[in-house]
Amino acid sequence: MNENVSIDFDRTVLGRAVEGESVVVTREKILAFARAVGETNPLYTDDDAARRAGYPSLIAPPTFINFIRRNAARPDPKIKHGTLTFFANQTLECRLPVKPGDAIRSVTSLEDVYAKTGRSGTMVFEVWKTEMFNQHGQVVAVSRESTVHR
Amino acid sequence: MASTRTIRLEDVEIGDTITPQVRCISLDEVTVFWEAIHGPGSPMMERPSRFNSVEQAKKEGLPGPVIPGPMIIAIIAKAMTDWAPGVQLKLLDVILRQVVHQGADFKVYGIVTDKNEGEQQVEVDIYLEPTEGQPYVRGRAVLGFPSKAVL
Repeated sequence: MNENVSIDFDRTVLGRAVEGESVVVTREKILAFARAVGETNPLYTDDDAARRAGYPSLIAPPTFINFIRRNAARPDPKIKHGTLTFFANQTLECRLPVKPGDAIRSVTSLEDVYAKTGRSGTMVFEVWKTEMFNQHGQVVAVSRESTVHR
Repeated sequence: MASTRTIRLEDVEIGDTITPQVRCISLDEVTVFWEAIHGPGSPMMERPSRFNSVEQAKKEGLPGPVIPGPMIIAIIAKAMTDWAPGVQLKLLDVILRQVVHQGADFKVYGIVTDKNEGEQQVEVDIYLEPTEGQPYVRGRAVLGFPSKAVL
């Protein structure tokens, strides 16, 4: 349950959309990501297999988009709570495949900051929404991600 | 490893299990992952952190180095799409309840909880758990099937 506790952070960051630099997706980046995760799915590693499945070339694994998301500059909300931060949750909607040559632009904003109290004390969550667009202005993915401070 | 067999939507029943994958992630694998994300010489791996240093992990109250959250999410996505190559991961929604430690076996799998023939998709509950003990991660995925079998 969300709690109405006072959380010390920079409220000017809340809801402010920040646009990241466009990132050009290369085959090398896709293959490096696929190798790092141990992907063997031919859609992500083999052009011929991807073409047989109806794609113009190999495509990026779905969570490759996190590579682009992590390059998006986020303003620091300067949350003053606890000493540790952990990745808590991600909801990732994958709308279109990402392929070599795509230029992906991201727009990110801090959606919410809230507190919860459990056995280990009060935790503060920051929730970021990032929309990622391709060079045609189409949304390729939407990510909502929470980080917990405790 | 990705399955080489073709799974069509009509073959899938509610209650089917997404083939479990047992993984054990090493520091070398974490390093390769961060380098794929941030490029070689990532500061994430050059300064001591809970991802690469036993001492730092202990300072943070952890028994040892842990696996970064985005890598866990990538491993879960891989397990989902390996099950039926050609399926599209449309939605992934995961909650990390505990940190996942490097060098320890864990199992990731799913159970089909819904099937929508009109939308050509299935919904899956996701589990990532140690070989013994409480789950590290719970979640949900939506997997879309191609209109005809591929691969």
